[in-house]
Amino acid sequence: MPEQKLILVVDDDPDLVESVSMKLESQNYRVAKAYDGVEAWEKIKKEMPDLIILDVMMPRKNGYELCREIKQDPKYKHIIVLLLTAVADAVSDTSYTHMDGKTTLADDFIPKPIDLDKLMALVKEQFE
Amino acid sequence: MAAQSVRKIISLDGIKLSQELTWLHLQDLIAETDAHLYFVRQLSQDQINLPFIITHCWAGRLHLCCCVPAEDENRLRGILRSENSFGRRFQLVGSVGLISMFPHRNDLRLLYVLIDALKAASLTVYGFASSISSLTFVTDYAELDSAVAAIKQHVDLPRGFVPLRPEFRIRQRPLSPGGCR
Repeated sequence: MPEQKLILVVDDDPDLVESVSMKLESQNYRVAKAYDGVEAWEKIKKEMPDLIILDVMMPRKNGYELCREIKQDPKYKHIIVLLLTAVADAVSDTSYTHMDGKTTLADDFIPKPIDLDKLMALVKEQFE
Repeated sequence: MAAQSVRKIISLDGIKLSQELTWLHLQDLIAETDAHLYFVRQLSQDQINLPFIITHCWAGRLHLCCCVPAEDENRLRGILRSENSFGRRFQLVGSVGLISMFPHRNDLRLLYVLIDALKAASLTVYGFASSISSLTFVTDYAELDSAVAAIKQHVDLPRGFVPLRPEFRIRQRPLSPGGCR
Protein backbone atom coordinates (compact mmCIF):
# COMPACT_ATOMS: atom_id res chain seq x y z
CA MET A 1 0.00 0.00 0.00
CA PRO A 2 1.54 3.33 -1.02
CA GLU A 3 2.48 5.76 1.71
CA GLN A 4 -0.18 8.39 2.36
CA LYS A 5 1.07 11.82 1.37
CA LEU A 6 0.79 14.58 3.94
CA ILE A 7 -0.66 17.85 2.69
CA LEU A 8 -0.62 21.08 4.69
CA VAL A 9 -3.53 23.39 3.95
CA VAL A 10 -2.88 27.02 4.91
CA ASP A 11 -5.51 29.74 4.73
CA ASP A 12 -6.95 32.27 7.18
CA ASP A 13 -10.44 31.26 6.05
CA PRO A 14 -11.32 28.30 8.31
CA ASP A 15 -14.17 27.27 6.03
CA LEU A 16 -11.87 26.99 3.05
CA VAL A 17 -9.35 24.99 5.09
CA GLU A 18 -12.11 22.65 6.23
CA SER A 19 -13.66 22.08 2.81
CA VAL A 20 -10.30 21.49 1.10
CA SER A 21 -9.21 19.20 3.94
CA MET A 22 -12.37 17.11 3.72
CA LYS A 23 -11.91 16.70 -0.01
CA LEU A 24 -8.26 15.73 0.38
CA GLU A 25 -9.07 13.21 3.10
CA SER A 26 -11.71 11.68 0.87
CA GLN A 27 -8.92 11.18 -1.69
CA ASN A 28 -6.85 9.33 0.91
CA TYR A 29 -4.37 12.08 1.72
CA ARG A 30 -3.35 12.93 5.27
CA VAL A 31 -3.99 16.56 6.11
CA ALA A 32 -2.48 19.14 8.45
CA LYS A 33 -3.97 22.60 8.86
CA ALA A 34 -2.67 26.08 9.60
CA TYR A 35 -4.38 29.45 9.58
CA ASP A 36 -1.56 31.93 9.03
CA GLY A 37 2.01 31.94 7.77
CA VAL A 38 3.62 31.82 11.20
CA GLU A 39 1.62 28.79 12.30
CA ALA A 40 2.26 27.15 8.93
CA TRP A 41 6.03 27.51 9.29
CA GLU A 42 5.81 25.78 12.69
CA LYS A 43 3.80 22.93 11.17
CA ILE A 44 6.23 22.58 8.28
CA LYS A 45 9.18 22.20 10.65
CA LYS A 46 7.29 19.76 12.84
CA GLU A 47 5.50 17.62 10.27
CA MET A 48 7.45 17.98 7.02
CA PRO A 49 4.51 17.83 4.61
CA ASP A 50 4.88 16.52 1.06
CA LEU A 51 2.84 19.35 -0.40
CA ILE A 52 1.47 22.69 0.81
CA ILE A 53 -1.66 24.42 -0.44
CA LEU A 54 -0.83 27.96 0.55
CA ASP A 55 -3.01 31.04 0.50
CA VAL A 56 -1.34 34.31 -0.45
CA MET A 57 -3.23 36.87 1.63
CA MET A 58 -2.87 35.95 5.28
CA PRO A 59 -2.21 37.85 8.50
CA ARG A 60 1.15 37.80 10.32
CA LYS A 61 3.08 36.28 7.40
CA ASN A 62 1.69 36.16 3.88
CA GLY A 63 1.94 33.24 1.50
CA TYR A 64 4.60 34.84 -0.71
CA GLU A 65 6.94 35.37 2.23
CA LEU A 66 6.42 31.86 3.50
CA CYS A 67 6.88 30.33 0.05
CA ARG A 68 10.17 32.20 -0.37
CA GLU A 69 11.39 30.96 3.00
CA ILE A 70 10.49 27.38 2.11
CA LYS A 71 12.15 27.49 -1.28
CA GLN A 72 15.29 29.18 0.03
CA ASP A 73 15.81 26.60 2.78
CA PRO A 74 17.71 23.49 1.59
CA LYS A 75 15.89 21.41 4.17
CA TYR A 76 12.43 22.30 2.88
CA LYS A 77 12.80 23.42 -0.71
CA HIS A 78 11.76 20.00 -2.05
CA ILE A 79 8.26 20.51 -0.63
CA ILE A 80 5.73 21.16 -3.39
CA VAL A 81 3.97 24.51 -2.93
CA LEU A 82 0.68 25.36 -4.64
CA LEU A 83 -0.22 29.03 -4.15
CA LEU A 84 -3.83 30.13 -3.87
CA THR A 85 -4.12 33.45 -5.69
CA ALA A 86 -7.43 35.18 -5.16
CA VAL A 87 -6.41 38.64 -6.20
CA ALA A 88 -3.62 38.29 -8.72
CA ASP A 89 -5.61 40.05 -11.42
CA ALA A 90 -8.00 42.15 -9.35
CA VAL A 91 -5.63 43.92 -7.00
CA SER A 92 -2.61 44.65 -9.11
CA ASP A 93 -1.82 47.84 -7.19
CA THR A 94 -1.07 46.01 -3.95
CA SER A 95 1.93 43.94 -2.95
CA TYR A 96 -0.11 40.85 -3.83
CA THR A 97 0.64 40.78 -7.51
CA HIS A 98 1.20 37.97 -9.93
CA MET A 99 4.75 39.24 -10.37
CA ASP A 100 5.35 38.76 -6.66
CA GLY A 101 3.97 35.28 -7.01
CA LYS A 102 6.45 34.36 -9.71
CA THR A 103 9.43 35.34 -7.57
CA THR A 104 8.43 32.84 -4.89
CA LEU A 105 9.29 29.79 -7.03
CA ALA A 106 5.96 28.21 -6.17
CA ASP A 107 5.35 24.99 -8.07
CA ASP A 108 1.97 26.08 -9.35
CA PHE A 109 -0.88 28.55 -8.83
CA ILE A 110 -4.54 27.93 -8.12
CA PRO A 111 -7.05 30.73 -8.70
CA LYS A 112 -9.73 31.47 -6.13
CA PRO A 113 -12.57 30.71 -5.89
CA ILE A 114 -11.30 27.15 -5.86
CA ASP A 115 -12.68 24.46 -8.09
CA LEU A 116 -12.16 21.50 -5.77
CA ASP A 117 -12.07 18.92 -8.56
CA LYS A 118 -9.43 20.90 -10.44
CA LEU A 119 -7.45 21.30 -7.23
CA MET A 120 -7.56 17.55 -6.60
CA ALA A 121 -6.40 16.88 -10.14
CA LEU A 122 -3.54 19.34 -9.72
CA VAL A 123 -2.49 17.76 -6.43
CA LYS A 124 -2.58 14.29 -7.94
CA GLU A 125 -0.51 15.51 -10.87
CA GLN A 126 2.22 16.73 -8.52
CA PHE A 127 2.77 13.23 -7.16
CA GLU A 128 2.89 11.45 -10.51
CA MET B 1 -23.99 19.84 32.62
CA ALA B 2 -22.27 22.95 33.87
CA ALA B 3 -19.94 24.80 31.56
CA GLN B 4 -17.25 24.32 34.16
CA SER B 5 -17.37 20.55 33.73
CA VAL B 6 -16.74 20.67 29.99
CA ARG B 7 -14.19 23.46 30.29
CA LYS B 8 -10.89 22.65 28.63
CA ILE B 9 -12.31 19.43 27.17
CA ILE B 10 -13.09 21.30 23.99
CA SER B 11 -10.15 22.35 21.90
CA LEU B 12 -10.10 24.91 19.14
CA ASP B 13 -7.57 25.58 16.40
CA GLY B 14 -8.16 29.31 16.50
CA ILE B 15 -10.29 32.42 16.81
CA LYS B 16 -10.80 34.95 14.03
CA LEU B 17 -11.93 38.54 14.50
CA SER B 18 -13.48 40.83 11.93
CA GLN B 19 -13.01 44.46 11.09
CA GLU B 20 -15.52 46.98 12.44
CA LEU B 21 -18.96 46.32 11.00
CA THR B 22 -22.53 47.62 11.02
CA TRP B 23 -25.34 45.26 11.98
CA LEU B 24 -28.62 45.34 10.05
CA HIS B 25 -31.85 43.59 10.96
CA LEU B 26 -34.43 43.69 8.18
CA GLN B 27 -37.70 42.32 9.49
CA ASP B 28 -41.12 41.29 8.29
CA LEU B 29 -40.38 41.50 4.60
CA ILE B 30 -43.00 39.88 2.44
CA ALA B 31 -41.05 37.01 0.95
CA GLU B 32 -42.95 37.03 -2.35
CA THR B 33 -41.87 40.56 -3.18
CA ASP B 34 -38.24 39.45 -3.52
CA ALA B 35 -37.18 42.60 -1.67
CA HIS B 36 -34.44 40.60 -0.02
CA LEU B 37 -33.05 39.65 -3.43
CA TYR B 38 -33.13 43.30 -4.48
CA PHE B 39 -31.22 44.12 -1.31
CA VAL B 40 -28.50 41.54 -1.95
CA ARG B 41 -28.22 42.58 -5.62
CA GLN B 42 -27.75 46.19 -4.59
CA LEU B 43 -25.04 45.24 -2.11
CA SER B 44 -23.27 43.35 -4.86
CA GLN B 45 -23.67 46.19 -7.35
CA ASP B 46 -22.21 48.64 -4.84
CA GLN B 47 -19.42 46.17 -3.99
CA ILE B 48 -20.37 46.13 -0.34
CA ASN B 49 -18.99 43.04 1.34
CA LEU B 50 -21.33 40.84 3.35
CA PRO B 51 -19.22 38.95 5.89
CA PHE B 52 -22.21 37.68 7.85
CA ILE B 53 -25.82 36.93 6.92
CA ILE B 54 -28.61 34.90 8.45
CA THR B 55 -32.15 34.67 7.15
CA HIS B 56 -35.34 33.22 8.51
CA CYS B 57 -38.70 32.85 6.79
CA TRP B 58 -41.92 32.17 8.65
CA ALA B 59 -45.47 32.37 7.33
CA GLY B 60 -44.37 34.24 4.25
CA ARG B 61 -42.44 36.84 6.25
CA LEU B 62 -38.72 37.05 5.88
CA HIS B 63 -36.21 38.27 8.42
CA LEU B 64 -32.67 39.03 7.39
CA CYS B 65 -29.77 39.93 9.66
CA CYS B 66 -26.41 40.82 8.21
CA CYS B 67 -23.23 42.80 8.75
CA VAL B 68 -21.44 45.14 6.36
CA PRO B 69 -18.18 47.05 6.83
CA ALA B 70 -18.69 50.09 9.06
CA GLU B 71 -17.36 52.45 6.39
CA ASP B 72 -20.16 51.30 4.08
CA GLU B 73 -22.95 52.20 6.51
CA ASN B 74 -24.00 55.33 4.62
CA ARG B 75 -24.19 53.45 1.34
CA LEU B 76 -26.19 50.75 3.13
CA ARG B 77 -28.63 53.42 4.33
CA GLY B 78 -28.92 54.59 0.73
CA ILE B 79 -29.94 51.12 -0.41
CA LEU B 80 -32.48 50.86 2.40
CA ARG B 81 -33.98 54.22 1.39
CA SER B 82 -34.17 53.19 -2.26
CA GLU B 83 -36.76 50.46 -1.78
CA ASN B 84 -40.20 51.31 -0.41
CA SER B 85 -40.86 47.86 1.00
CA PHE B 86 -38.04 48.31 3.50
CA GLY B 87 -39.90 51.28 4.98
CA ARG B 88 -39.12 51.33 8.66
CA ARG B 89 -38.68 47.61 8.87
CA PHE B 90 -35.03 47.75 9.71
CA GLN B 91 -32.73 48.39 12.63
CA LEU B 92 -29.08 49.35 12.37
CA VAL B 93 -26.45 48.96 15.07
CA GLY B 94 -23.09 50.56 14.46
CA SER B 95 -19.68 49.30 15.57
CA VAL B 96 -20.16 45.57 15.91
CA GLY B 97 -17.65 42.82 15.16
CA LEU B 98 -17.55 39.11 14.45
CA ILE B 99 -15.73 36.58 16.58
CA SER B 100 -15.40 33.18 14.92
CA MET B 101 -14.22 30.06 16.69
CA PHE B 102 -13.01 27.10 14.66
CA PRO B 103 -13.36 24.26 14.05
CA HIS B 104 -16.65 23.46 15.75
CA ARG B 105 -16.53 19.78 14.74
CA ASN B 106 -20.33 19.73 14.98
CA ASP B 107 -19.94 19.64 18.76
CA LEU B 108 -22.99 21.23 20.39
CA ARG B 109 -21.11 21.48 23.68
CA LEU B 110 -18.97 24.17 22.07
CA LEU B 111 -22.05 26.28 21.36
CA TYR B 112 -23.12 25.85 24.96
CA VAL B 113 -19.70 26.75 26.32
CA LEU B 114 -19.34 29.81 24.11
CA ILE B 115 -22.78 31.20 24.93
CA ASP B 116 -22.09 30.61 28.60
CA ALA B 117 -18.69 32.32 28.38
CA LEU B 118 -20.08 35.38 26.59
CA LYS B 119 -22.98 35.60 29.03
CA ALA B 120 -20.65 35.35 32.01
CA ALA B 121 -18.64 38.25 30.59
CA SER B 122 -21.88 40.27 30.12
CA LEU B 123 -21.25 40.68 26.40
CA THR B 124 -24.06 41.54 24.02
CA VAL B 125 -24.70 38.94 21.33
CA TYR B 126 -26.69 40.29 18.39
CA GLY B 127 -26.71 37.00 16.52
CA PHE B 128 -24.75 33.89 15.78
CA ALA B 129 -24.40 31.37 12.99
CA SER B 130 -22.42 28.33 12.03
CA SER B 131 -20.58 27.58 8.82
CA ILE B 132 -18.79 24.47 7.69
CA SER B 133 -15.99 25.11 10.18
CA SER B 134 -16.78 28.07 12.41
CA LEU B 135 -19.21 29.26 15.02
CA THR B 136 -19.51 33.00 14.63
CA PHE B 137 -20.99 35.48 17.11
CA VAL B 138 -21.81 39.13 16.51
CA THR B 139 -20.93 41.36 19.44
CA ASP B 140 -19.82 44.93 20.06
CA TYR B 141 -16.62 45.74 18.20
CA ALA B 142 -15.07 47.36 21.26
CA GLU B 143 -15.64 44.14 23.21
CA LEU B 144 -13.94 41.70 20.82
CA ASP B 145 -10.83 41.43 22.96
CA SER B 146 -12.99 40.88 26.05
CA ALA B 147 -14.82 38.14 24.17
CA VAL B 148 -11.52 36.46 23.27
CA ALA B 149 -10.40 36.66 26.90
CA ALA B 150 -13.69 35.18 28.11
CA ILE B 151 -13.62 32.32 25.62
CA LYS B 152 -9.95 31.52 26.28
CA GLN B 153 -10.90 30.59 29.83
CA HIS B 154 -13.26 27.90 28.60
CA VAL B 155 -11.46 26.12 25.76
CA ASP B 156 -8.04 24.78 24.89
CA LEU B 157 -6.18 26.73 22.23
CA PRO B 158 -2.83 26.01 20.55
CA ARG B 159 0.36 27.06 22.30
CA GLY B 160 1.29 30.61 21.28
CA PHE B 161 -2.28 31.29 20.18
CA VAL B 162 -3.09 34.76 18.87
CA PRO B 163 -6.44 35.61 17.28
CA LEU B 164 -6.47 36.21 13.52
CA ARG B 165 -7.12 39.89 12.86
CA PRO B 166 -7.95 41.48 9.53
CA GLU B 167 -4.93 43.07 7.86
CA PHE B 168 -6.36 43.64 4.40
CA ARG B 169 -9.64 44.07 2.54
CA ILE B 170 -10.91 42.26 -0.51
CA ARG B 171 -13.79 43.64 -2.53
CA GLN B 172 -15.85 41.37 -4.71
CA ARG B 173 -16.43 42.25 -8.31
CA PRO B 174 -20.04 43.29 -9.01
CA LEU B 175 -22.23 40.40 -10.10
CA SER B 176 -22.91 40.16 -13.79
CA PRO B 177 -26.56 40.78 -14.77
CA GLY B 178 -28.70 37.89 -13.60
CA GLY B 179 -25.90 36.59 -11.42
CA CYS B 180 -27.87 36.67 -8.18
CA ARG B 181 -31.02 34.55 -8.02
